[in-house]
Amino acid sequence: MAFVRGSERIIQALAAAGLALAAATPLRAEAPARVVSMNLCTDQLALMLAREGQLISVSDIAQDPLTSAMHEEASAVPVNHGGAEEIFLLQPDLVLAGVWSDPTTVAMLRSLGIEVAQIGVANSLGDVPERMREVAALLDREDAAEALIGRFETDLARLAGPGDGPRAAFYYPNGYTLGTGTLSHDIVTHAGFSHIAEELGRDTSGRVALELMVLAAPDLVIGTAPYPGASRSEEILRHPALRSLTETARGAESGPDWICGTPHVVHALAEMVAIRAEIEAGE
Amino acid sequence: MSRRAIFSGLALVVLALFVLSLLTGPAGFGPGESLAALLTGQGDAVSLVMREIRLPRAILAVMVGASLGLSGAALQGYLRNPLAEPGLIGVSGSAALGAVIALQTGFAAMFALALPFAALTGALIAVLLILALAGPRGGSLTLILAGIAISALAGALTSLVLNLSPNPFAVSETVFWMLGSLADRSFWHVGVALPFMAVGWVLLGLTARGLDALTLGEDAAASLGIRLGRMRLMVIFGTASAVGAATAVAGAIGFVGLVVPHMLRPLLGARPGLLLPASALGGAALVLAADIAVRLVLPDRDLKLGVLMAIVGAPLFLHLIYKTRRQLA
Amino acid sequence: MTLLSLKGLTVRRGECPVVDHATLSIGAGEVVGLIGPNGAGKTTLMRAALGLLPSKGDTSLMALPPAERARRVAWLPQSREIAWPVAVETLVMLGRVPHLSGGQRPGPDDEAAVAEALHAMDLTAFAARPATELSGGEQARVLIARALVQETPLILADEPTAGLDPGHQIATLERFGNLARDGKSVLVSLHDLGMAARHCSRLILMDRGRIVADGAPDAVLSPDRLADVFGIRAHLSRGPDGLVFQPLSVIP
Repeated sequence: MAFVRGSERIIQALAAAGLALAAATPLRAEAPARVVSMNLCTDQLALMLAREGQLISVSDIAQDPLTSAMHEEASAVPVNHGGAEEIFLLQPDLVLAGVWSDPTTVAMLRSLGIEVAQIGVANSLGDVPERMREVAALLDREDAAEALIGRFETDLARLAGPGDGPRAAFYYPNGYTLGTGTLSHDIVTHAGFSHIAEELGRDTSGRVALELMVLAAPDLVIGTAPYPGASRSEEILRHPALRSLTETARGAESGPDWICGTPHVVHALAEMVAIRAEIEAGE
Repeated sequence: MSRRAIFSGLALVVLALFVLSLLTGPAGFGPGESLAALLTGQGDAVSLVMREIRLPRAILAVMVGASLGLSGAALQGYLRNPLAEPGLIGVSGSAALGAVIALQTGFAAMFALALPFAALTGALIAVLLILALAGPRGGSLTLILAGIAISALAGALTSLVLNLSPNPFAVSETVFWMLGSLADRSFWHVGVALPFMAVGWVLLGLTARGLDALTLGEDAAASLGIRLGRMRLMVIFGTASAVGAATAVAGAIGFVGLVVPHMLRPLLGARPGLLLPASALGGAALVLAADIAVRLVLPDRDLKLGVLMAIVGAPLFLHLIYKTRRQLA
Repeated sequence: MTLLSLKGLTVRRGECPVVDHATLSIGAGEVVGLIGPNGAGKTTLMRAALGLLPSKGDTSLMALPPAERARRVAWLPQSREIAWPVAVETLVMLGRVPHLSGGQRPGPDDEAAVAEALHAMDLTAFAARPATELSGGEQARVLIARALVQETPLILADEPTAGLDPGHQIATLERFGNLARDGKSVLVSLHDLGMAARHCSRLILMDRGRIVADGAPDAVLSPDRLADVFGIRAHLSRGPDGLVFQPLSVIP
């Protein structure tokens, strides 16, 4: 990941400058003692990196087994529901949020004098160590981060597959598919699949017509497990045309490990590598 | 224009639009290839697309359009009011509410026809309410007001039920239920909707003579031997059944039952009985055309049918109100 | 043969009897005028006789199923509703509905009957015009034509001549007279006592729900009755063509 190391220093510097501007306080002299996280991905990064007792609250989604890869660890921590009042009353030294967190809540917290750090979405495997370093710097836990990153990069190297393997596609409720500029794209291509988003020329995620998905005839279709309660959005995943597709092809589910840019993507990678081996053995 | 010419013309238009619908879609294969794959395909990707995606969609467009056109004509004939229409008076919205409740409570999963049955129940309640509030003696104003009230209530309750769902996607579906769409429907939907729609078509079709006689008013119609009570039940259950089934699979699509009878009425000498089959054909044509248009206008997005219908239908509705405003005020 | 027989027909609205124990019988070949002040119960009597209202007592028409009833009696209501702009001949053709079964289309006999009725009511020129474009009087004639075309032995008509030109009023009542000569009967409610006196062979006078007189016009329109029921004095004499009746003054 040479290209990551090179640009990483620049980005780190920019992040630090950005933080300074946003918080309008001098760079931290000591580690924050009370950290609240209000975003699923920062929840997990904080759970991994924070010192004992440093993280005092995570978002309620962190405890949902369908969405959170660390729901067991998160169950030991109290939850918040992302409201400014609730978080303010916890008297945090630092709030970790996402860049897409509710801007009114974030603005409110800042106007109440609370430092809010907004961590970006991971769009590639290279973003994973970057985000970890970013959060670690905020928590004053750089050493812990380096250890985890080292392990992560070893696993990445171990699970790398040669390119041009079987063709994979993502098909989610409402016919939603992923583009090439996403973490999931990186996961399947790193495991050695080729992602049909490249054939379709899609760099951004969005709806793709069922017809085009059927015509593309991928070897692997990745979807999600249905949520409780019915929804019409999930109906398309049971469409007969799609079903005959997944009868000849393989189906798989992307679970919580895929959602955030954390070392948990290694589990997703391992699964993809195994499926790839099965497909290639079957041919 | 002779009656035969009009009906043949309508049937031809429906057929042409049906074929056009089969040829419309994001996958860019030519007409020859499409039709060949449809008729003789061997289960390859193209014939899969044609048979499992495009064909049920086109068939459903015909069924839904016919149901909506027919029930619009029947309601207008029975209420003797050109503004009556299942979408406007809240029947479609209530059917959607019934469907949503069935889906969220798991009732819809119990047996295949549970979903359209629940939608029918919702539609039935709305029809009964409308008749109670603005029945044959009621005028346009009462009808529109009752329709607004029922639509608003049904829409709000639909939104509420979806908001309470544990499923994260449920909330965004409010749009589908309120505006309707035929995207990615399959033969399962066709099979589930057909029984109730067929019942509705038969019941409504049998009211033709009674609706003609009703032109003279209820007393005169009764004196001509028309059983008013029985006709009333046929209109109620026929509308609930046809509109309920259509809404269960395609969401609430408005204005079809308003636009089609209005356009065909001058061609058929305003005869309510003839308007029934004509509006069924016209409704099929209109929904087919709209469904083709949504795929051509914004091919990447799932533009809802209701959007196009509202663009066409709402100005017409305003025009009709303007024309009849003396009676309303 | 009796075309209509009512025995003790009573219609109540709440406690009040709108029609109170009405008994009458109409045979063939009669033009019977039903007269009385506003609110006397004329319309209610006729609607109850047809079974359009719930009532107590007997009416011979209710013994028949609706389809058969429609072939025995035609009803011409007072409210002249025409819901849709259908062509005049289409509207008149609706009178043939009792004679058409199921999905049967009108045949040449039906069309001939319609043409004849249009001619009788002087509407042939309007045959293809939308009925809603006609004047009030013309629409009234269209609706009368519809009742004629039903070709029933008995016609019940509620104020069919209201709003018509004098010429058309006379023509309509003379038409009813012709029907009577052919053995049919008409029960027609009228406000115009002069027309009633002149064209009806028999008058039935109602007052406050009761039938207070039933007989020949000159007997029914006696000065006592006129004073009692209508509160008027009138001139009644026999002219060369029939009775001449003219209200003169109000009795204080």
